[in-house]
Amino acid sequence: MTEPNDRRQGTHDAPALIRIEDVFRRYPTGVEALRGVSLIAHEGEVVCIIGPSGSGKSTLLRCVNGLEPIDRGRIRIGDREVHAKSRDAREIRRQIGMVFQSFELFPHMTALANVSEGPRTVLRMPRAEVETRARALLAKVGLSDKADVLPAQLSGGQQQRVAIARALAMQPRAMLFDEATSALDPETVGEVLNVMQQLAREGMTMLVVTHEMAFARDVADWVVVMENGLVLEEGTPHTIFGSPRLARTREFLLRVEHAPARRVEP
Amino acid sequence: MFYWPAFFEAFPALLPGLMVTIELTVLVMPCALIVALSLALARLYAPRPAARMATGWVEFWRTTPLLLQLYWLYYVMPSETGILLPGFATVAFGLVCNVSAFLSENFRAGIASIRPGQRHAGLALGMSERQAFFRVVMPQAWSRVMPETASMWVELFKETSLVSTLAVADVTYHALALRTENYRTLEVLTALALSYLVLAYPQAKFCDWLYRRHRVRE
Repeated sequence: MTEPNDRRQGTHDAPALIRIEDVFRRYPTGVEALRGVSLIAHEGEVVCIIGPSGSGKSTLLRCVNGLEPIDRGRIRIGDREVHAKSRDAREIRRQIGMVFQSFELFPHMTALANVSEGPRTVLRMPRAEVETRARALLAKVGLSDKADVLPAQLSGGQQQRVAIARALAMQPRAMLFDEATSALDPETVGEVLNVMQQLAREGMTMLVVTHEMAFARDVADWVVVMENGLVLEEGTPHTIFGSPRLARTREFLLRVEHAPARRVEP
Repeated sequence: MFYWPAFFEAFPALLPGLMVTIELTVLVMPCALIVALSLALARLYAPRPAARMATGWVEFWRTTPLLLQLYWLYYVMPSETGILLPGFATVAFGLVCNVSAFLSENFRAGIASIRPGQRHAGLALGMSERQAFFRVVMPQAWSRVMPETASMWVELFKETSLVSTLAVADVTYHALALRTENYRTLEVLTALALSYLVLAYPQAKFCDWLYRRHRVRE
């Protein structure tokens, strides 16, 4: 039914950029967060990962850029394999942007300094060039006027947009979004989703863990449903939201629909 | 009866001692900061045996009296270990050990209070662990420990008076010596107190200013 080549026109034949193969991750506490997950994101594709809390979605993202080690399996970015401990992990993290649920902007730096930090400290680019790039990115996320403001003076939505700009400043090959809108006030969710949608349109490869079903339905090229550390089902948004194959998926989607709705701007 | 001439005449006599006190403070504090940071890092990030040793070292210096520590270094260390340092170096070493133990506990708590997500955000940008620590974690931790560190500085400045009991000619030593010469205890000790106050007050204010400047709004 849902064969991989169902993927949306234009992306299904692009080369695979993120390739996750049979990944296991067990926490020192004994909890098995991932129990054999496989997943592919092709270049320019938006893959949304949905599923109940504790299903291993966030852990998977953190394994992709080596913030957490894996016990078994393989994760590759392009033709490089991710190893959490190795020096390579740094090289891979440079190429992959990450956006956190709690923003994690550096509170002691202005918005501009936050966006400049990667190119400056990691890429060691010249100061003038860094500033040009950072200002352009702040403009892109609609925050030109907030360049000299500290994170504490920004709303949640604004902070998250700065965080996206900060990740983009490294000119990453792919972006990981770890529940980027879950900690936001309802009225600022839309502005962050809009930025993400714009990125998707520009052809950024994105792995998006989200509870925003509307976003997954409208923007994703591919939707992955996870539960208990396993991929339950995957397919095009049309298939997953229209005619999911498994009863478990249907149950999950029904639960989400009936949860106190957080509407996204149409 | 407060005899003013004795009060005013005390200051020139105290001056050389005052220089020793200032030297001691200015020398000990930066050293203590570096040692304290190393100890805090060892306790947080070093392999377990090294972390344990650092903890033991810190606890030893924190839980014994400074005066005893100085006496031990001054009288026992030379006779038992054969290490004979000049008096000034001996007390400076003791003060560094003592102050750094207290500071390191403060630093350790400050660093641990920065949530791990901040480090992860640095690493996710491609920073090395070292860069993430010095660019992201340390500046924030420093702002949090600044007030305590500032008050330790002033504390140290005053505690150096203990070294006068070990023939190190600091300002207190000179005052006590002067007192036995002219028997003007009231005037001499008042002059001594005023000397400490006049010097410590701007330091305390300077620390307050540093704190305001470094404060991070979250």
